[in-house]
Amino acid sequence: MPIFLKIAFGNLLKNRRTSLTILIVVFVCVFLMEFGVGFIDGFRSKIIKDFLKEAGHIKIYNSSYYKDLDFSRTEFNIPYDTKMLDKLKAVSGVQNVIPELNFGAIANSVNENIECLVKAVDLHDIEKNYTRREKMMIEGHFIQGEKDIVLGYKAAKYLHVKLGDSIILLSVDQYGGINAAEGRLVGLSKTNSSLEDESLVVCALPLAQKLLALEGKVTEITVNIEDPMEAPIKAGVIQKILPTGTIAVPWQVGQAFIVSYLKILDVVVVILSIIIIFAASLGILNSFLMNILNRMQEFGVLRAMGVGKGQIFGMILTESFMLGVIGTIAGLIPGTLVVKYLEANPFNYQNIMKLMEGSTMGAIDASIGFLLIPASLVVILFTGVLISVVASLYPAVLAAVKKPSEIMRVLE
Amino acid sequence: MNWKIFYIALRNVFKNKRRSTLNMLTFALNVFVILVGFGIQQGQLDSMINKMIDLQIGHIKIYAKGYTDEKRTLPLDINIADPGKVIDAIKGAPGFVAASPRIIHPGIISDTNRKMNVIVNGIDMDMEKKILTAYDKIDGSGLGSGAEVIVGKKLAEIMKLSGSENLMLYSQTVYNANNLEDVDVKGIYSVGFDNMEKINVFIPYAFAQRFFDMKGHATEIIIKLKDMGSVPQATKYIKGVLASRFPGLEALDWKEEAPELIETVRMKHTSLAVFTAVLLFLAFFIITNTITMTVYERIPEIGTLRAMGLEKGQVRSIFITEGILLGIFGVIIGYIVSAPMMYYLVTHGIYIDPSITAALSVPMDFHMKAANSPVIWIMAGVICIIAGLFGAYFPANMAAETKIVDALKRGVK
Repeated sequence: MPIFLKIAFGNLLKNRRTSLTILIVVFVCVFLMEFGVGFIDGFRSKIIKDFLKEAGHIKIYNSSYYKDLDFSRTEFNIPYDTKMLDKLKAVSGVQNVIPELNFGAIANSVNENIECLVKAVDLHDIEKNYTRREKMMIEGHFIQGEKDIVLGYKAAKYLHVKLGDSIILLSVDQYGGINAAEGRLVGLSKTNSSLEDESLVVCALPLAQKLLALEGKVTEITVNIEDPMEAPIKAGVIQKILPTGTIAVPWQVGQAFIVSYLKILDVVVVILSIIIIFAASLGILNSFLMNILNRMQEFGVLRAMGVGKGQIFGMILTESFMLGVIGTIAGLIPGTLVVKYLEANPFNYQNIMKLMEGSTMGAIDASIGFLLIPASLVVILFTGVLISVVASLYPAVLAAVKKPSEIMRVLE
Repeated sequence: MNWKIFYIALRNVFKNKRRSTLNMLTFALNVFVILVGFGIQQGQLDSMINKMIDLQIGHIKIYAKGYTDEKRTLPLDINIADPGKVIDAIKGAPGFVAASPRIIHPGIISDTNRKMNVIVNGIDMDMEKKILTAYDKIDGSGLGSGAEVIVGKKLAEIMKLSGSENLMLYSQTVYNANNLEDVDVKGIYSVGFDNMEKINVFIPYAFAQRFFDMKGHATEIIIKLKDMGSVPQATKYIKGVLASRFPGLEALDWKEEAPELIETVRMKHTSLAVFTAVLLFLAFFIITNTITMTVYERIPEIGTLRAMGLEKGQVRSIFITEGILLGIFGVIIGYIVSAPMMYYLVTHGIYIDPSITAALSVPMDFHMKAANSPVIWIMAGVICIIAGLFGAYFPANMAAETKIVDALKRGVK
């Protein structure tokens, strides 16, 4: 074998033009694939990590509330206390348990009012459960006390309020009466999601419970787990410990469109890869064919000297394998640098994310970066080498099956 | 055109069928990607834009100045004082079909058990039917002039409405006073766009005037034109009329109404253009390499031709013509391969899961059909042929500069 490596390597250097052509084709192919896969992986990660974590891997609702989810019927609620919290945390794989009250209200300042979406958060474990929201504060701080209120920065602009001002929340409580609660503006957030920036109000759970006459109750509990893909199994486990009349909904059911999105992403990657690989293969095949046909004399002499068909075949494949490895590594290096840079400096798609406004995906952060996943890198490495080897199969067969006498006769 | 040169180039293309086939396939792949890629993208975007215009935004809208800055809250106090007068003034716009005043404001609709935040659209139904297709399918009698409402099919499903209920409509007047009235459901409209059907309810314009206490004012005027081509001229005309007679008003065309759509168009076209450019680069590179190898192989032949009297320019022409011919044949193969796929995509399209389109706030067809225009076909062909020309240019120059004596010294194999 080593002699063939020597011969193969020698041939690569001897036929520099062909070698360089194939190297460039493999390089471009691998670079493109890494770029495309890096983007898709980044988008997938954005959905699974950021969006699903925010939307919740598993959501616990009152069954009647879940049936009428569009109406946020706060009269259908879940009793929540430390006992419930401990039970949920005891389930293996559970990372966070986040109770919330989410409802519509009218936020009033001295002169203005706007319809808003209120997210009432539990003050316990607030730093652990709302790390992302804390990072989004552009002024002031996140909720710390029972009377604290955080607004999206655009909502604050509409209401003409600044930090320290009073905000009154007006809503209908569970008995149908109109109720009001006052809080103090302590922070402004900027989330890159227009919907949240324009209408989100975050307050403490006790303030909202008082407003809605729902002391000790919440409308939903978000449970985040270590592996989001295991949500259906964990939801089944959690369902067994929940009181009657409550339901645990995994994200694959509650956010079913995400499953379709992820499938579409997979299909897009496959289609793009097929196009790139096919184009690259044509180029490599063409170059190898020309190279082999020009070297028929050499193969004829080698065959006449006793080299077998299989050895000729192996020699050519060794050449293509080496070219594939060199071209792939050469393509992976700049590809990795570009993807790493774009991972740290994501694109801002805020304008395009407005198309998602009003839907659950509207809550997704509009900055989408790339992501370098080792498993994807391995697949690209393997594919780059494989393209080169597979594209050289036909020329290799062509060279191997020709009889030495036929080759020599043509050369005379 | 020197036909001898053309014949030599043509013969050379078919002399090495395998090599030429691979080169042609590279161009064919590029043609396929351009036709199908741009076709699907353009088809999808055309569908979104047309649906948005036909269902929601019309071709042009007129607002009071300052309204668009506060549009998120859909204010009533920034309004158009005499919409009828404005409509009369703009009727001369090129391509004008119809215009209608509207009052739009957020509200809550309730059946005492369930309540839903909605956008209340006060419309002149007879006029709006000339402007939007949203009212083509109404299950019910439609709007009269009293305290009535039509709701979307999705909202009706959620609220379990059959189309003849009495609901409560709550909102605030232009003076920020709370208002609550009973409204009769007079119909359920269906547009195949869940987001719109869930959020938008329609009440008669006369009732909206009373309900919101608008005293003849409107929050916007929606305008329909004959076709998209009329939009630039009509917008210019209307802006001119407003500037001279109604300086407190402004006109926005559909592009200004939906900038996020334009951004999406730009992003998608850019990404596909970048991808196509890279594929073309590959094709160009492969052609350059192939023809360079061909030149090296045929140096003795080139020397012979030069010795027989062929000029440098003629030698150059032979190889450039080969490159162009490879491009042309590749484009023809690409057209043949793409035609059945394009036919299928134009007539049937690709099915998109409705749960995905429900996540968008713009309407989209469940069957994503491709756009098919002669421009895309011509563009694909021209781009690939030019790639073939440029790919052959450098090796052609190399062949032309070959010294006769050196070439003949190598001998004919």
